[in-house]
Formats: sequence, structure tokens, C-alpha cells
Amino acid sequence: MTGTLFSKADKDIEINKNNDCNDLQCEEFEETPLYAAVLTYLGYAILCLFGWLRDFLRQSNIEKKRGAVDPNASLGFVPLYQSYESFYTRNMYTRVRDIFNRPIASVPGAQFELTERMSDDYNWTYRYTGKTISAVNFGSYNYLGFAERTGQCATDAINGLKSYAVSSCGTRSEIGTQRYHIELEQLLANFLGVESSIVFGMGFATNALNLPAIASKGDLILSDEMNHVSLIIGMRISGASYQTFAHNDMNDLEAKLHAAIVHGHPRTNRPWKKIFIVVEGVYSMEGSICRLPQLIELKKKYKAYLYMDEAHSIGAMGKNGRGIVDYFNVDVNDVDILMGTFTKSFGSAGGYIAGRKSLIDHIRIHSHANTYASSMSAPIVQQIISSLRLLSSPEGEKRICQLADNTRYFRRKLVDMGFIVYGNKYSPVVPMLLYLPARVTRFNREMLRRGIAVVTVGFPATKLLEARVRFCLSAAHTRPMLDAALAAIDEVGTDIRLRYSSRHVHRRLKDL
Amino acid sequence: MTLNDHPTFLRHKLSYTYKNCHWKTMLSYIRRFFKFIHWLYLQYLLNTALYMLEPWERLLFSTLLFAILSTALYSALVFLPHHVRSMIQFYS
Repeated sequence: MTGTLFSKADKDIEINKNNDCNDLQCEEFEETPLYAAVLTYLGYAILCLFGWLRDFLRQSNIEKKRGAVDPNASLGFVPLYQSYESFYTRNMYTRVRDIFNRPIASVPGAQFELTERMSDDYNWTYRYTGKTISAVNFGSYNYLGFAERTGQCATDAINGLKSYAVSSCGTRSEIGTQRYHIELEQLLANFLGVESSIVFGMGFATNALNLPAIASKGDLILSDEMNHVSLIIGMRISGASYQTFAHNDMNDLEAKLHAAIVHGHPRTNRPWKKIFIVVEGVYSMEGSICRLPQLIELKKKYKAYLYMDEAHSIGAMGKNGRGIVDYFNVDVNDVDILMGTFTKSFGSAGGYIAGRKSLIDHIRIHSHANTYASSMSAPIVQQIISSLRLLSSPEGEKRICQLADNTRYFRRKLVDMGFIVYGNKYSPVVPMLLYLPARVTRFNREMLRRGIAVVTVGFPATKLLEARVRFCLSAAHTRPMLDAALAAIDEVGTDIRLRYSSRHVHRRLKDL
Repeated sequence: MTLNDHPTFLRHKLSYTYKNCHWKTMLSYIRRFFKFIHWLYLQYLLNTALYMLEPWERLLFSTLLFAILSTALYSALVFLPHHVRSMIQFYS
């Protein structure tokens, strides 16, 4: 194809550039080793066989049915729940349910308390013993360490509560907009370097309800295959057509853009009204960063709009904490729609959209989240305002540097020990692959026994083969905490043989 | 994976001295051996996903596996010599 921005020769250079780790886009996704894939499939096959056996025993009333039973099924109604998802939930998820969804009993800072729960019937029911387990927190999205009960932000939030009480008792458009909403939006727009911004009470709803406000039937949305569910639901609600392109693959995206402009709608060949490219700043399951410079080049060449979801990267990336735009040092006006959340780096809740004033004014009128959702609560907004102010001060810079330091140290040590770690070298989300379902549960339980609470994710959230543990690093983690975690990972990783990497030498922590 | 590659063995090798009396070292060797057997059993449970199953399911699966493997082994031991000999006769 003549005239493509990234010809074949450029693609080879790009591959070499990605392996040369001095670049900002240095990412590594090692292939699954064959024996791990075989053992994973074997494990799932055995679980499936026993699942069928147990389902048969339950169906023929030899064993009692423990899960939710549809009472209308016996009366001749069509079943309310789909059967395959229930199969997985009943026979594989419930067996090891104690490693997921643990309730916590304190503020989710770097060190926190988990409630202890015991099960007598293999995780169908729990009883809470009343004790709590103290553990180091590697699961919370607390990138800058703002999840704390004391300090400037907490004091400001309490003062906000005392001044304005909890609820605003209205929507933004009907006597629900307060001074602090206007202040937050102006502060956020100055922080990001854009003309204007608008905030919402829920991050998921920001995506799901605002994509319909800007995209509609007759538009095309090109989204990355690893995009979050909120973006996909927003695309579906909007009524626009959408296609996915391979994860972070700019050649695939360019081919699809080219084809979209040349061919238009699938059957009628009418031209598309608008074309959007929807990407995320940092992908939370992969740890990879979007290729922003190439995306901006593509968007300018093909006249498409770029929507970037910076849920995990705002505050955590860039030398001033301003996200991926700051990380790559590009012009912020090149990204048309910047979206982000306050849940991860600011220790609060909610989401925002930022961009040109004309865009934000349009969203203010047309977005359902603005006209029907109640406006953000006072202490939550105060927490964000004080954390934004703090980020511009020297203490904020200290937090950003601490996070970057922790990220580089932790990732370097894990990779040097021989574990497979996905994603960009500088992203604070560290997914380490475990593959086998039994090893995943053993890892989680053994780490908790050693006082480290981690989040392991398996099949529905990730692909069937690639079950992983996702470490979320924080500026609140001190070097001794990271060392304790690394020692525990080293010990457990040796015991259950988690060193899968063939590109790096397997080493013990004491040999590094 | 030999006995010498096992992680606890590597660690304890460095702490071995000649000053221990014989029955104590025998005991520590036996203890290490049982730990190694337990570790092998754990590997079996993890790699076949039996770790996630209830004890009676583990017993069922292990019994079936043992039955199949022992039948295969017995048949091999009884029939292989005769088969190999007749194959050699057929092709020579």
C-alpha cells in the first residue's frame, strides 16, 4: 500500500526500537511457554470433568444444591440465568472464592487490615471470626498514596463536610452546582493545560454516558481490543459502529482508518460522519502504555478524533503527574477528548472530561450524566481539590518521584529474577503471569500468609491461558515494604515454580 | 528435578558441619526427605489442578490415575518382551 505512514521498513525499525529499552515505549510481552499452556489446559480440563460430575450429582439430588436456584424453572418458565457462566461460577470460581473479593477493615493505604473469614463448606458460606489480618497492600489503586486518614487532604475533606454536608440533593443542572464544583473544574483545567473540564460522580458512568453524547449513529469508533468495559458499553449505547484494532498496533489502526475512509459504511458505502479513535493511557490488565505520538500523527493525517481514557495514568505518569501527555511531552491540544478518573491517583471518586470549551459546553447540555446524576458530594470534591493543589507543590513532586522510583525498582527486580512481567518499563501497574489456576490460588494464599495482599485475576477478566497477579505500586510503599514483598515473591515463586521466562536468567533474590 | 536441585537442600548444604553427631544428621536427612516428598506431592496437586478440589475428588482422581498407569505398566511388563522378540524375528 503506497502512502502508508508506517511502511514495512519502519515496522522493523519500530520492533527494534521496542526491544531497545532506552525508549519511552519500551514494552515486553513474552510468549506463553508451551509447558505452561499445556498444564493450564490440563488443569481446566480436569476442573471441567469434575464440574460435570458435581453438576450431575446436584441435578440428580444426590448432593444438595448450594448456589442460587431459579424458583421459576420448575414452574415451566424459561431460565433466567445463562448456563455456561453459571457452570464456571459454580465449579471453578466458588472452589477458590476466598482469594477474591476480600472485605477490608481499614483505610486502603500501603498497610491495611483485612477481615479474616473462615469457611466450613468449601467457600459456599463464610463466617467472620472478628479478627483482622494486617498486610501490605498491593491491590488498591493508590498510586500517589492519597488514601490516608490524616494529612492535609483529609483535613480539607472534613472541613468541606462541615461546611456543606454530604449530599447536594440535586443534579448539576437543577440547583446542584456548588462553588466547589466550579473551583474543581477550573483547577483541573489549569492542571491539565486545557481550556475547560467537567466532572462527574462516577468514573464508569463518565465513559458510559458521555460517549453517547459525542458519538451517534453514522459515526465510526475504532477502539483498542483491550479497552475497558465502560468504553465498550458507552460505544454500544451511542449507536455508532465500532471496530477493534489489535492492541497498540499502529499499522493495523492505520489500515482500518484507510479502509474506513475509502470504503465508508459496509453496505451502502456512504462516508462516515465522524471517526473516533478510543484508547487508554495505561491499560490496567497489561501494564502497557498507548503510543501517543504515533496516534497523534495518524489522527492528523486521517482527520479523526482522539479520545484518551487516562483512568490509571493521570497523576501516576509524567514528570509533573499530568498523565500520558506529560509523559511523552506532546501538545495537550492534540488530544481532542481527555478523560480520567479521580478514584486511582487522587484518593477520591468520580471522573472528568477535559478539552476545548466548545466540547465541554456541548457535553454539559447533552450528557445524561450531567442532567440526571446527582452532583458530586462536598468532601469528595474537597479531597480532589486539595490533592490537585498538593501535586503542584514540592510534596507532590516527592510523591511522583517516589512512585517512579518504586516502579523502576520493583519491575527491575522481578524481571531480573526470571518472572514474566508484561507491559511498559515505567508503568506502575505490574502484571506478573502465573498461568495455571492452581498456582494462582496457591500464590495468593501463600502471599497472604506472609503478610502481602495481592490481587490475582483469572479467566473472565483475562484470557483463559493468561491468569496473572497484578501489583499496583504506590508512592506510599517504602523500600522495606517492597523488599519484603520481593522476598516473599522469591520464596513462593521458587516453591511453586513461577519463573517462566526464557529471555532472562532465573535468579534468586539473594543473588541479585 | 533432582534431589540436589531442591531449594531447601541447597540452603542446608552450606550449614552442614562434621561436628553434628550421626543420629542428628540422620534425623535431619529424614526430615528433609519427607519435606521433599511433600513438595513433590504439592507439585502434583498444583500441576493437575487437584489443589482446588475437595479431598474425596482428589482421592477419586488419584485412584483412577493410579489404576490406569498401573494397568499400562503391568501390560508393558508382561507383553513387551514377547512383542519385541517377535518383531525382531519378523524383520530379520
